[in-house]
Amino acid sequence: MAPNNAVEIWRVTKIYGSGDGAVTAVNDVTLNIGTNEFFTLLGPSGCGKTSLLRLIAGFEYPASGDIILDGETITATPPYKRPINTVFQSYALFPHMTVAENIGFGLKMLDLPKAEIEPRVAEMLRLVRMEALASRPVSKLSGGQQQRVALARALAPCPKVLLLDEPLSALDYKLRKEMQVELKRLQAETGVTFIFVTHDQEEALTMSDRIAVMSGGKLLQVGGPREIYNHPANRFVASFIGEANFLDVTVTGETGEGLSLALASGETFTGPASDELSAGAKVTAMIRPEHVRLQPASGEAGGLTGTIENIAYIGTDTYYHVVISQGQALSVRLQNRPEDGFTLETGDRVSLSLPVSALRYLKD
Amino acid sequence: MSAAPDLITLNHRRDIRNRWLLSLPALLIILLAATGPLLIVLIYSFLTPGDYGDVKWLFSTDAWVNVLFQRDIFDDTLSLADAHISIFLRSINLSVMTTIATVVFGFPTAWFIATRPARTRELWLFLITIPFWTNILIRTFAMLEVIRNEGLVNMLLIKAGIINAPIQMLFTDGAVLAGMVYVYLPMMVLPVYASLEKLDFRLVEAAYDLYATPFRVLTKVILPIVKPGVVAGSILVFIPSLGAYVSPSILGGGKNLMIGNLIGLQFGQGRNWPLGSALSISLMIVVMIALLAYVRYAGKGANAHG
Repeated sequence: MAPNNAVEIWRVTKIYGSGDGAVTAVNDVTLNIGTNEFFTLLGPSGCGKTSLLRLIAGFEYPASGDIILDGETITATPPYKRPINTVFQSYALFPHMTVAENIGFGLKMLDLPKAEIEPRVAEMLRLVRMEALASRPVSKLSGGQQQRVALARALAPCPKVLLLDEPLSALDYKLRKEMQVELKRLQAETGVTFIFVTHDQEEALTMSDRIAVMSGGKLLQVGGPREIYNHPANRFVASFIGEANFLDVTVTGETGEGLSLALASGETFTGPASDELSAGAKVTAMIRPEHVRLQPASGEAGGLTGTIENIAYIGTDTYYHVVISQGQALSVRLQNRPEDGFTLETGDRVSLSLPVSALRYLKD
Repeated sequence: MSAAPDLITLNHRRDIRNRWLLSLPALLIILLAATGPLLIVLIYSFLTPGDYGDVKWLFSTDAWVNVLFQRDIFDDTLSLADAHISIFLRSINLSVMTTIATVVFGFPTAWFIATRPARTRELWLFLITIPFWTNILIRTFAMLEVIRNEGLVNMLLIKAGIINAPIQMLFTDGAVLAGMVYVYLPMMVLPVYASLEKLDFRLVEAAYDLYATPFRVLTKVILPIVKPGVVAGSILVFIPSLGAYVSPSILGGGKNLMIGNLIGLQFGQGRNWPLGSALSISLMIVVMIALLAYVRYAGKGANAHG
């Protein structure tokens, strides 16, 4: 057992219901989460991320598999005996208590003396900048304030792991951005392992040390934000995180730079070398819209060409939907730079270049 | 002052007036059906008992004196009416016990119903109300059938060889309490269920998560939040059980009088309507004091946190 793993999840399966109505929410997931890590479970709703979080918290027990906290098996330990605290999506603050009483609740339940609880609550209030509202009833707080109290309440007993179940989803955009920064700060200041659940890929990329992408109860890929974004394990991960163009190509041979690839319509371009692919193999090539280069088509032949079918201006960038041939189109994202001396209109012919280093081969 | 606020006050006043109009039918019923008879009872309590029941229209405070004191038949000195006081205390005791027992039995029942899937909850609630379909007298006699010496329970126990002679269950304080709990249990279950149903069960999870043992989740989170339901249920149980008449007289065998029976006695064999009236009003005063004290006590925690 590696000592630097805060949580180890070993072959955990969770099934809801029984018989024909049984739903496998978590399907044979094995995962290690490091100490002091900001770890994110990312996936669409219903992918099993919240179920996995509830298993770690102890609200549910797995059908099979083990959950290990700091080298100790806690699979069957009830939630009140696990040094793990949760920030709930709905905050779940106790309505009959003040801000300070909410924050002190966990400490009180641990039977700590009052002399220890009071300074700890004060410290937590300071940490989330809520000192002025300590004696307020929680019903009189705004959404952002409730969020802070929920955080402080979960952090007050110094848990080994803090679980956050989509805590920012109820906040408006600006507040959400603020709280993202705030959460990172809190994690750095407290040194607690954070396990964060979200369906927002941008949130996951900005905040996490590592991300686990889930779908259909299965773990698809675990890695750092850059790794996940740049080297997605499969088509689902590539399309769920960021935007992606998928090109169905056939390997036609090898060139000095890598593999020569051909689209169904006959256009060819060069992709990176791969040991697994040989001539004749069919594969999906992926490229991010911002990695495609685009220029007004010049007279000379060679490379890919296409016609702009659609333009979407989003301020910093512009999206061009370029049709290469029947049934094959690329989305291209270009930064709007004043020094670029060309403007493109719908219907213009353009030449595209796909940098070899930006292309990826994907399994479906 | 500008015109706008005046207009608002005007509208507001009209609003209030309209609401009063809406409640007028209810107010009329209360006035005619409750206040009127109550006034008669109050007047009767200051009159002289007639020879064959009824009252003589002679002003007298004897009835009120007799509520708490008794006049010695030889030397006319007054001493505390121990009998009346002990009856009052016994009734209060029985009501408190009934209320506590209905909370103890009713809360888990309400919890059970509130945690069922939404589809089946209505069925359970429906089952809870079934006893209401039958007259209280019949229900109490049914209970008598079950617990009397030759009743169902004793017969089964004897047949099973657990006991040789029947256990005396009827005409005991326990029988009265059981009868009262049986009759008033739905009155506790329904309001407690109503507040449990609104309880956010994520709060229970949050408390579990924050190191609260199941017992502490109950006492520190669930009970404080559903307290209004328990308070309402307690009031609904406590008040009618203070004046309970049927259960004590049938299941208690009239051995230990309750206020209800004492009052009944004054209007019947006792032929002392003024004393019955004075006792009735005394009972009302006891109820009011108990209620005020209880609501004040129960409301304290809730008000402190808004």
